[in-house]
Amino acid sequence: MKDNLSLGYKATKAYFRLMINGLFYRRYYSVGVENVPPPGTPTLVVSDHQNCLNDALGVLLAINDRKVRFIARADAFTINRLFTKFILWVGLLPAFRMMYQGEEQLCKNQETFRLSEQNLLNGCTITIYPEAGHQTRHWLGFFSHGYLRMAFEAARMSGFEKEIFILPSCNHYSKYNGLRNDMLVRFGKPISLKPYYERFQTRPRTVRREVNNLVRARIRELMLDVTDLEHYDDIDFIRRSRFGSDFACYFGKNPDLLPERLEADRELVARIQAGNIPFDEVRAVREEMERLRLEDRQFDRQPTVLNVVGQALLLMVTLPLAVLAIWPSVLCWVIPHHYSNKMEDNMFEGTLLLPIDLLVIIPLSFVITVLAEWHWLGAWSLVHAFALPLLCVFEWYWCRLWKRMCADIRYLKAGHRAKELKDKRELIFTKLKSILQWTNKK
Amino acid sequence: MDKQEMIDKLRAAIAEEFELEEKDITPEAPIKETLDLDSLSLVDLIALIEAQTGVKLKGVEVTHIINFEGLYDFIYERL
Repeated sequence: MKDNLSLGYKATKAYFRLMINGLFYRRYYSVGVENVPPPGTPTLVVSDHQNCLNDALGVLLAINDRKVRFIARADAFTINRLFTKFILWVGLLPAFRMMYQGEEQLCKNQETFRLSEQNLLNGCTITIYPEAGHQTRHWLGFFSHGYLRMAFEAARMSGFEKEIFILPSCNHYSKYNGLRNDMLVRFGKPISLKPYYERFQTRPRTVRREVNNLVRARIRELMLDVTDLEHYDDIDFIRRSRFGSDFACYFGKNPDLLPERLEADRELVARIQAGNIPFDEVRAVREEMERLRLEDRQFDRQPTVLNVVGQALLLMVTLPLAVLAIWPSVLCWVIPHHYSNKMEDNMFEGTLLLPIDLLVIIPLSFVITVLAEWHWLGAWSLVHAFALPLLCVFEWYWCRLWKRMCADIRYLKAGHRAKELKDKRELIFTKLKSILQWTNKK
Repeated sequence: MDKQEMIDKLRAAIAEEFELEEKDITPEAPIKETLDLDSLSLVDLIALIEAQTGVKLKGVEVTHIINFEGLYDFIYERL
């Protein structure tokens, strides 16, 4: 079955694309789209879950030629009646999880399963995140087998005639929180379930386990999977430092391009996890940097008083525009950013920012701006209204420059302690270089 | 039913239902990893335990149990 996409659906998606590419992310990449089976092929996109709703939006933008359905946490359907209608229209179906909705709600999944199985038989593409909840780290969690029950049940309903595919996928982010990060959606080679049909009929659990292991292995090949969780923060510190960028260059990859950086990071993490790393020393430097609130970049391009004066001047010159950009930045990201920082699970920041901004704040601020300014500015109010998303981006960069200036002042104030820390950091990098056999090219 | 009898009965039933070898279900083996236990198979496990022993467990109770030894102890206390 080929989806006849309505004009409304296409327009909504185009608006999402424009805003997500132009406003929310600095760069958005979709890699391996050629691996997506053609429209009309029953396909279950199975992905790691890194960043709540943003993951789903990433897949939505990557696959253009059909309507992609999603299976999402059931609590997203309880936020607001209008929002529920909207997400059902976009193609989301609720999944009830024991850890969120309680075991008595699990029976409600039957309806979602039944619909999804029918959709699969109709040749639809459905995306599911078998980890159930999102991770807070670059790590692949435990997979629930619900997706395989669904896929094999659909196959059974067709008399094991219909070929159903699992498409391994991964989401990757340069940074989880805030605006203007890079995002990557990557698809692996599809896995046909047909070779498993015969054995499934006598050994269903064994086959599900086998296929699940295969799918996990394929997703692992795509993503950054840090399995040493005990030293996760230290590994992440190394990866994000100048050492990580240098390693990417040494590895023949461009550290500024997320798909290439991901490849280099995968290799770096593999070597770190296999090596005998002095994690105590790494942790000491990391914690001292956190305590002094210094940034890695400052050790390589050490701030001077002149830098700080230059930053202050630039901030002052652009202050009028920054004041103008307060509307609607305060609603678009300042309040959500501030609020999500206080949440127990701040991974919801993207979810708070994206749908609320795209569906409510930006359209609403557009209308309010035009209504409020039309009397005084006439058609110029439209120019202002259309520029609102750009003003939001400007405000973000202005605030970032402000934070950088504050960090540079802290560095200057830290004086000899910053110098000592720089030396310790360089010493660790030298040790790491030797441990990770830097000289043995790939 | 004494404890060993219950354990043998349960182990055989779990092995059959989850298509595993009985030898894989050692007392120290972690339940979640051994059975690949997600919320749906947890429902199956609970139904199986009830059918074999008459003990009705809640899903949340089982998710807190680490290994089979803990599960057997937990069930035996409620027999």
